Amino acid sequence: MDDKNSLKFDKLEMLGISKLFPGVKALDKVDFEIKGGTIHAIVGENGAGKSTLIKILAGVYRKDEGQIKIDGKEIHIASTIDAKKLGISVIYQEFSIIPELSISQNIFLGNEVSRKVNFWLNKNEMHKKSIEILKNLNIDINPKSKLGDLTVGEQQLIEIAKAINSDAKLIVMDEPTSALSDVEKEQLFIIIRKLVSQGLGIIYITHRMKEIFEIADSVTVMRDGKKVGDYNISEVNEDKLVKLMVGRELGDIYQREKGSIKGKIVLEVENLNRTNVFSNISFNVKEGEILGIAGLMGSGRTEIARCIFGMDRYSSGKILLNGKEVKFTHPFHAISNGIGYVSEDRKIFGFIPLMDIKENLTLPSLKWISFLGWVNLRFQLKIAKEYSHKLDIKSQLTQKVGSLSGGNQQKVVLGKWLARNPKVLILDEPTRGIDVGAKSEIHKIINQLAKENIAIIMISSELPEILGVSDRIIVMHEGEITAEFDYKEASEENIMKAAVGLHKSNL
Amino acid sequence: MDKDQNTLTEKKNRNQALSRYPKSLSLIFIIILLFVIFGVINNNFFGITNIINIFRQTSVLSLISIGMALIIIDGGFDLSVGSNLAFGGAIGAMVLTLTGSSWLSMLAILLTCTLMGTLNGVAVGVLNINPFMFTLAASALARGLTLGLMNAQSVGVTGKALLWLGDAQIGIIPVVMIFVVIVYLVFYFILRRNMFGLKIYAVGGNIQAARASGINTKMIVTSTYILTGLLVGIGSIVTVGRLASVQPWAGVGLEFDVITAVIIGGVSLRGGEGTMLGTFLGALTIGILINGLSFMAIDPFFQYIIRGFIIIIVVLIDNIMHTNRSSAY
Repeated sequence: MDDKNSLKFDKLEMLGISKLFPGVKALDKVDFEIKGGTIHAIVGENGAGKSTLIKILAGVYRKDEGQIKIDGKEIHIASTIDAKKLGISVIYQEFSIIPELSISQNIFLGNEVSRKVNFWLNKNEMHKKSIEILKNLNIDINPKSKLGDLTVGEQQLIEIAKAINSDAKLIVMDEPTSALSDVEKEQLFIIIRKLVSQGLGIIYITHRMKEIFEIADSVTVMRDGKKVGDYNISEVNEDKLVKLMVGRELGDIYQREKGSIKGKIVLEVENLNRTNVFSNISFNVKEGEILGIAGLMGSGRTEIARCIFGMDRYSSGKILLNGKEVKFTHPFHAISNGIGYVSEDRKIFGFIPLMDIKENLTLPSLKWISFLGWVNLRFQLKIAKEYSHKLDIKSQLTQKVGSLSGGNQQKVVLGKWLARNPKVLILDEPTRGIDVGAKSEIHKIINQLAKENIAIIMISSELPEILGVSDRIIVMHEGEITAEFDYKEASEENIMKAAVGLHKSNL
Repeated sequence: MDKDQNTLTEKKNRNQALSRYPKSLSLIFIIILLFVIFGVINNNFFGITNIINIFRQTSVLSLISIGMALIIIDGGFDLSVGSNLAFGGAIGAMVLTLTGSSWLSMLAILLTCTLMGTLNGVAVGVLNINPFMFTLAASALARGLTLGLMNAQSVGVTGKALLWLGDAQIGIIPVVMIFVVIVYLVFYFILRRNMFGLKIYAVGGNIQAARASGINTKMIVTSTYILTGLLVGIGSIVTVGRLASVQPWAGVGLEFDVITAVIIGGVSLRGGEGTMLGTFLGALTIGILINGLSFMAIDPFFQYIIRGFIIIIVVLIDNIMHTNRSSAY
């Protein structure tokens, strides 16, 4: 079966790859290898470094350290064009197709140059070739139809056809089945197997454990920017993989003093639904309690938070504040009712970059520090000073927030909600993109807030954080709650299992 | 190590942030420079009469620049100010002819222009229609209606009340000059210390974060257009006062001068930035330019070309100055 002549390449190696971003070492001397004619999966938590690794292969990022070799020869990937020329093709979760163009035009997007016949694009030639590619892949789609008319699954197949057309030797697929039906998934697998029999290599990234065992030959586990190990698929099972993905020493992680007496239920969510986003969500939070919501990115956690906060609408269900049902249609209502939301992406939702610290800190509080519309500047300064001090924001109040470090920015965002004396505080990835020192400062602050009887919901993709800070943890997977744990019962393993859908327990 | 890097960057940015009005300072230099240049070319430029004239000529531009500044700060655009000004005048002339009352006429002008502003505001702020497209269309509509209503002919005005704002003087100081300064002061304080003003900066700086902070962003954006409408109405009255008539072609090209003035004055096309002082100086700069050029007896066509050039340069500079705006992290 291993006919070397039919392989598109023998071996692609990534040796000692490191990549540094401000404050974060995304990849730490990672070694990775894939042989032609095989399907190799990569697994790891969010932030483990998988997508950074493949973006380096794709030419989107440049490596800081290390070498990449194809068949023993070192190659340099300085741009996406280089990657393409070398035969590396990446299919991302978000496609790069143009809906209004026809299929053959899409397949040739970026490659029209090489198919030109005297300056004008040779449409017939492109069309003929498209039919050929599609037939070869057993894809039953009319090449003349517009791409926008196809289902997501079909569009994805066109993406693959596009990759083939650029003479790909290695195709990287990032969460390829997230938008596919079971039938389409099977079709995809058949095509993948066919490609592999033609000598291509496939790197397959997914969180869906079952699929890895269906399709892959081997798997690499990554964690915290490092490679944990490479395994033949026969050497491992789902449980073992999860263990490898999360196994780490809990040493440096902030451990909160827990188990203190909690007050009454402040916020309750009953059977909340938002079509195609989340379903059947029910949970509650008590005064002084920190409820952690774990799960992978895209599992619907932020969406729930936004609905509670009045930023988005939901389809059905109830939200109760102190026992009374509430329906917020604008964040202003939620704020007036004592709810604060520290959003996931602070750059987009968190602060006004051109305004200074004191202005940002007091923005949601304007109504309450103004008289007849005129802001009481002394009041404003007083509140700004108070919360700047409380959160230890290391900067002058006149400094524009856009120029602060990530940690300080996050403190400003936190501070502005604290200034509202909220009863419920929702934190969405509160320490994302923040250096270790500032992280623990923020954890301490969160702890202090719980002591002041604020009900806290903390959404986080970082397991150590969830485990270290939460009193109770619920786990979400693809829009549903799959598990609930008390802090004593929780472990990285059982949270991760629930997050990838392996462990469904009823509440 | 990362912490040191952080504080280093913060220090660097702090120096940039400290100077609150760097642009206004350089603007004052430019104004003085222009003054000297034009003055050297023609001595009459320096005369007190001329200086007062400049203020008077720039009054409409200055007033409407306030509104345009707010609109652009919040990421919008209003290409209909010129036509709305004329349209207000047209309705005013109609009311004047029908009722003979100056006061009713003034009221009609104000209402009409504010209404047009509201139309813009609802379209852009509530319905999310592209401001460029909508106000362009509104501009065509307003101009068309104006010409139709007035049969493309001007209407003389003699009512004292109507002419007062644009024409009256206290000693040698035109009333309108004082008025402009007062309005600027009012808006200066609003932007600095009023909830409304802060919300305008917030919406302009980051509309999503503003909404997430509980600000009714639709209302804020809509109100910038309504306010501008009101200011256009006042501008229309001033224009009538200055010309002692209602002109169907009033305000043609006004929007370009206003936008230029506003951008010269430091309002960024990217939104979120701008001051009343800067806008005032920007309007003054344009005013001096126009006045000075007319002194040079240059062909009016050429004047347009020069003004066009200035807009291009100003936008380019704005682009360069604001490229490093995005936050470091």
